[in-house]
Amino acid sequence: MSRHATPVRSRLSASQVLGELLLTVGVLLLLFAFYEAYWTNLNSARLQSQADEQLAERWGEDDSGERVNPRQKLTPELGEAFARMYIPSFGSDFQFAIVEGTEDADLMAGPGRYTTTQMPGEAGNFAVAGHRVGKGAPFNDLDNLEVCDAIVVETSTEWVTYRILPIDSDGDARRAEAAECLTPEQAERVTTGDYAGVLGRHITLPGDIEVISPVPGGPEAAPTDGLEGLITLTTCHPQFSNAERMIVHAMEVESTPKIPGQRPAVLEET
Amino acid sequence: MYAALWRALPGPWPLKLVITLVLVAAVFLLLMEVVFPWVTTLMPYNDVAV
Repeated sequence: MSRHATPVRSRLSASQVLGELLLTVGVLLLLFAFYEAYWTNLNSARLQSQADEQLAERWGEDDSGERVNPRQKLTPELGEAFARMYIPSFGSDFQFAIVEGTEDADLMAGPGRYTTTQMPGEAGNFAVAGHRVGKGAPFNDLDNLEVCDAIVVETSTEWVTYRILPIDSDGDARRAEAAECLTPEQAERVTTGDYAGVLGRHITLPGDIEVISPVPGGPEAAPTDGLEGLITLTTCHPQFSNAERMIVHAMEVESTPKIPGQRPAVLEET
Repeated sequence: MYAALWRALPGPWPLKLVITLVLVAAVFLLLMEVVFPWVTTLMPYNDVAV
């Protein structure tokens, strides 16, 4: 039986197109999840590694033999790495080069310093923002920090050790916790003095810029004499939301000069 | 919809396959390097500063 030579024309049915569109949207969503969970982390890892190399070069850590002028510029340029942070309780491989600035472009490479705050090792507040999800997620696990955990910051000339302040205790309990790792004078200031309201970790609203003041909660003015050195870390909260911010405060307890080839013992803490 | 696109591609099926793979790779890179970075700026979990 001969076939008619009419071309078979398939008609796109509406339900078929709709079905395929829905499938396409589903694939796009999966690809976006892949992007956030994997692709940005690859990109940020590359940027962080570049920042770290810049730092190593500037500090003369490679074998180029050139000793860099130890008198650094007072303020690094935006996007430029100027220090490293380590959190020993997160493992010996937890370290990030800190860049200057908190714009999106700066934070792609790693944690970034609020430019209006103080530098590591100075009296006042060294405040740093970092991503919690994606882009390397340096601050993903900040909710696992405990009182007196160390945050170590390496600069061109010194190692500065900060200890997480008491988080949710009051009065004598707060003093007892503070006394575990702070000096008696610091423990007193943290319990009854000017740092009594500074919590090791708390949740606040975006726009609460007083957390980066020289004394958190106080005025944003320049630091006065006799202040302790603090480090403040900020990230978003809850994990995938921008509704709030998680703020971590730690107080400087020690600062030792950098000796080439030597790493301070605090980095080996667990 | 995709069947119609496939039929619209020129050549025998190996050529169509190659063109499809190239197009898929191009779309993938466009998404990863252009579209998704823009979408990300709209996402709430990127606000980490006070």
